[in-house]
Parts: sequence; C-alpha cells; structure tokens
Amino acid sequence: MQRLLRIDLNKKSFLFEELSPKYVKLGGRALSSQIINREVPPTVDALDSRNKLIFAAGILAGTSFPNSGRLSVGAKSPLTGGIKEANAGGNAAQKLPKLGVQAIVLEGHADQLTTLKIDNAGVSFIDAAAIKGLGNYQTIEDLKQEHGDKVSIISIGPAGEKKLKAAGVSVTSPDFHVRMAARGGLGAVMGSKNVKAIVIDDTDSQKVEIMDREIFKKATAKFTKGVLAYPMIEGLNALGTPVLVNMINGMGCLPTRNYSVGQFDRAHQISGEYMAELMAKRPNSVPAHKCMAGCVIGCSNIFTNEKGDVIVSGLEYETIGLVGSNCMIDDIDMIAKINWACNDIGVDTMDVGAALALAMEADILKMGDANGALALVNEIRQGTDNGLMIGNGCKVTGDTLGSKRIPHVKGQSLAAYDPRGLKGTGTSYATSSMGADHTVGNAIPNPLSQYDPSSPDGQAEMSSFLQIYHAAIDSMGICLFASLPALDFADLQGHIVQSIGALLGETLDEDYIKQLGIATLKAEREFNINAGFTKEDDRLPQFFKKEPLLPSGNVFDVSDDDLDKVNAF
Amino acid sequence: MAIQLTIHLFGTLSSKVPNYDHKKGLLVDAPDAVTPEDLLKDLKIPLTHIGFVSDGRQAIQFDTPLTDKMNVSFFSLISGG
Repeated sequence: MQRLLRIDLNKKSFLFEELSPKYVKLGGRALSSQIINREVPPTVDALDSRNKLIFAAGILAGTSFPNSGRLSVGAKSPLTGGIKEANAGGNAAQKLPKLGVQAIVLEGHADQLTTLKIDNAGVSFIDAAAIKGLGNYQTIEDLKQEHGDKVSIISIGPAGEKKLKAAGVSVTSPDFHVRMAARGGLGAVMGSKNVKAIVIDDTDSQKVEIMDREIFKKATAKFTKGVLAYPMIEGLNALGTPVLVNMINGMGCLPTRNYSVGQFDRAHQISGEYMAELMAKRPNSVPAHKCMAGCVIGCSNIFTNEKGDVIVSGLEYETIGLVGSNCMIDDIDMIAKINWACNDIGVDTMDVGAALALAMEADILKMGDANGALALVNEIRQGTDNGLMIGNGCKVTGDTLGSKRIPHVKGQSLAAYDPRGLKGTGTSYATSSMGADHTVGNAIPNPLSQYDPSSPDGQAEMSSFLQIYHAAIDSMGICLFASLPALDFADLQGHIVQSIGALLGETLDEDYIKQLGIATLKAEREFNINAGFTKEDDRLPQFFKKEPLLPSGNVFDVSDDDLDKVNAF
Repeated sequence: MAIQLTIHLFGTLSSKVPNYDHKKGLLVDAPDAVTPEDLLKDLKIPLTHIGFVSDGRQAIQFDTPLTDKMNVSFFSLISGG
C-alpha cells in the first residue's frame, strides 16, 4: 500500500497517510500537481509556510521498469507565481516506494535549519546548523559520512537558503553526483521551510508489490527491447544530450548572444562531438554515465580535466546552450566549471545562463567573458547585489537592468531552443502552466514526418499533443528519453500501459496515457487561473515576434488564437 | 549535369562512413536535383537513423532537391531533454 508521508515541520511530527481516493494510483507530477491544486491556497506567497513542497515518486518508481526513477518536486513557484513541477534523476525516487511512500509532503516550516532523515523507523528531525551555508557537494559529502553511502540525499545550496528565485533542489545519483530539479525556484521553497536536506535510507525495506508479476515482467521486457532498438538511443549513449549542440545550430535555433541569432560560429568547440574527443583522451571521463538505477540509456557523463579530476557531472545540452553559446562562451571546460558552481550553489543553469547573457548585454561584464561569468555566479554565494540579482534568474536580472529583451514566459527563462525556428516548442513555452519549459512539449522535427517546425500552422495541435503525453510520462517517473521511442511506436505505449496495469492489478483504458495527461494539465491550469493567470500570460516576449532570427529570418508568428487553443481539452 | 556537394555527418553518423574526416566532410559529385535521401542511400545510412537534415541554415526534407556547392548536414536521430 503506497502512502503519503506528511511531515509537519511546525510540530516536528509526521504521519503516514493512505492515499485518499482523489490521489490513489497517481504518482510523480500528477500526484504533486493534484495535491498542490487541492491543498495550497493559490494566491498565497510561494515562500509562505502555507505553501507545500512535494517530493513524489513516479507510478512505476521502485520497480524494474527501465528509467522510471525520476523524482518530481512540486510547489507553488516563487519564480513563476504558478504551480510548478521539476523532476530529476538520481536514486531518491527508487527508494521512496520501497519505504511504502509515494510522496513526501512538507508542510509548515521548521524553527531552525533542519535535516530530515526518512527510513523504516519514520522521520528524524536533525539540527542542520553544522551544514548551514554549505554548497551541495560538501553537504552531500558530510551527510554521506554521517549516514553511509547507501542513502539518497536531497539538498539545497546557499541559493535555496537565501530563498533566491532560481534556486533548485539537488538529488544525488547512486554514485553521489548532483542531479538538479532545477527549474522554478523550488529550492527557495525548501529554504523557506528551513529544510537543508532530506536523507532517504531504504535499508531493510521491501520490494514494491506488483499485482501481476508475470504480465509486468513481459510488458517491461518488450518496452525495454523497443527502447534499445530505437536509433536515437545510440547517439544519446555515445554523445549524450550535448549531441544537440551541432544539430540545433544546424537548424539555426541555437540561442546565441541573448537570443540575437540562431547560429554560433564556434559551436563545434562546445559540441557533443568535441566533448567526446576530449573525454576519450582524458582520464576518468565517463561518456555514458547513468544517473539512476535501472537506466538502459546512459545519456549523462562525468566530464574531467586533462589530469582526470572531475569538473562536473553531467554536462548537458541545456547548460551548454544557455551558459555557452547564449553568452558567446566557447570554452567547454569553463562552461563545465560554471555548471559545477551552479550545482554547488544550487541554482538553475538555464535561468542563470539567461541572466548572465542579460548582464553581458548590459555591460556588467563583457559578452563571452567566461572567467567573469564564473566570478559573477560565485557572487551568488557571497550575496553581493549582482550575485543576488543573477541568482534570482533572468526575469529579475532583465527587469533590474532595464532590458527589453528578456527571454522568459511567466518569469521562467526559455530553454536552449529558439522559438522562432521551432514554433511548436515556442508554443509549449508560451502555453505551459510551468512557464517556458522545453520538457513539457519539445517539438523537434524529424524528416520522416512532414511536420514543419517553422510554419505557424498546426503548432497548437502539436504542442497540445506533446504536453498531454509528457504530463503523463512525468507522472509515471519515466525519463523523457526512454519515453520518446513510444511517440513513434504506439505498441511501446501499450507496453507502458500494460506494465502499469499489471503493477496496479487493473485493466487500464487504451487511452490511459491521454487521460492521465489531461487530468494533470487541467489541475495545473485550474491552480494558475485561481492564482490570477490569464491568457495574456500565455504569450512569448514581443522581441521574438518582431526580431527576425538569422540566418533563417523567422519570427514567432503563431497566432494568439492558436495559442489559446492549446489548453482547450 | 553533375553538381558538387559537401556532406557533413554529425552525432554517431560519422562512424558509419569509414575514414570520415570531421573537418573536411565528404566532397561528392552528384546528379542534378539529387536529394538528401539519394545521398543517404549511397552512404548506406538508413533514413530511420536520421533526426534532421540541414542546408546549413535551416531544416530541409529528405526529398528537397539539392543544388551545386551546397553544404548538406545530416544529424543523428535525437530529441531534446
């Protein structure tokens, strides 16, 4: 029986609660969003103790279904003012269901900085004064020394403690690298609750109960086989997400110089292909790192310097796009160092990358100045005026500096795909309840289909379809990359549904994925409307509509009427 | 009439063509109005392995006729996350 673990930080008490009918059989993003929509007053300040912070394992978490260990972190966002879910890999989500916990709900706030330890005995409230102000890496090291190396650690860095709007939540991988639920300022919510870390120890726990183990095993095996046969997996395994740098540059959609142009003339120096050449020569580099148990893809990496010292793990496309080309930084080692600093301080590399480009545009530092960018990121830790500005993300930075070219929707920075050339992705940026987010519905073209990413027509339908699908996938805890083959091969979607049916002991409807996705999106939409959002919030900034993107000359010209159709389920 | 094209292979596609040189790409002579699909057949790379074809500026289709001196880039099947 899966339960909610409600932790009352005011009273230092906890309660294991059976999932009520409104939450039963949900997980991940669906469960987090339903709880927030029902239990958090929509107009409350995101840093008020009445906000709740959710850590939800996906429906398939803790089982042998491949790549099903994403952890959904949710709350009302201090960055967007709306509902938020950000998910990360790592091993926390695989451990929670083994303790009989589908989701942790943090309520109220502690009177002093606290570490929570969750194990078979329940919850311990531990004074965190000794790790106050530490970065994520030292926090993890100290907690690992104290609690052993079989645990999972969720933590915030100084940015979360300072309640900055770009603060994220770190989740450890099985080998204690940092993965981030980076977006939306959820680290600030954790900081507002005075919780520095959560240690999850599943020692002596039980296996997740699967109602029909035979059917589950067969459906899971078929899904795994289908994923591994999908040609995309080969590229992800060999080069990871940085393989996208050259590709998106080739499309003319790589954010460059604060989204001024779509191609970076030094893209090769920050590309996946170049990283692979470096990693082949550098000791201890790992090009196909797995961030969670049960991963069959291995798209992450451990990126080292020439001596073999780890610079960061993992160095991903979105970071390279926002911190690299968007800031005209062409030194992949410096991008990796900035990535490490962001992870340690506990901020979103995407929002901070977009903020750095705005600071460069405003001559706070020179465009392309990698050392200056690293120093400015480190000022977040020191709490200087500029540091706090950057740490609050691109919207605050742009407003502070008087920029008219702030690349955000609902206060959250765009990802590393220029929406003028990828208009389906742009439609998702504009219309998602999450703010500008690529994982909610990234419409990357495939020449086998006739989908045209640069046409204004048909993007509402494409975005709506993808947003429904990914809301469901986020609810199951499945990593995005394992879910993509199922978009091309419907039988793989059948194997997902069959696996969940076998897990729950039910025969699920054929359109289970669609129903789950729509119900989740509706809850999120309802929360945001009650928080005061209108259709005017579902728009891209004007400069994407007016400034042609070179070299293609595209502008974002999906009509407002079409944008308003996306959420008309 | 023959045209001359430069083909660039990205991602894992380069490993499918022996002795491919990243810096130079492949310089090929091809018939007029040749398409990306024709080039892939010659290179023995399945269409299902291709995520994106570019003329150096933006996406083109498998059946887009190519013209003299074009740079054609093929990218592995991939998506963003």
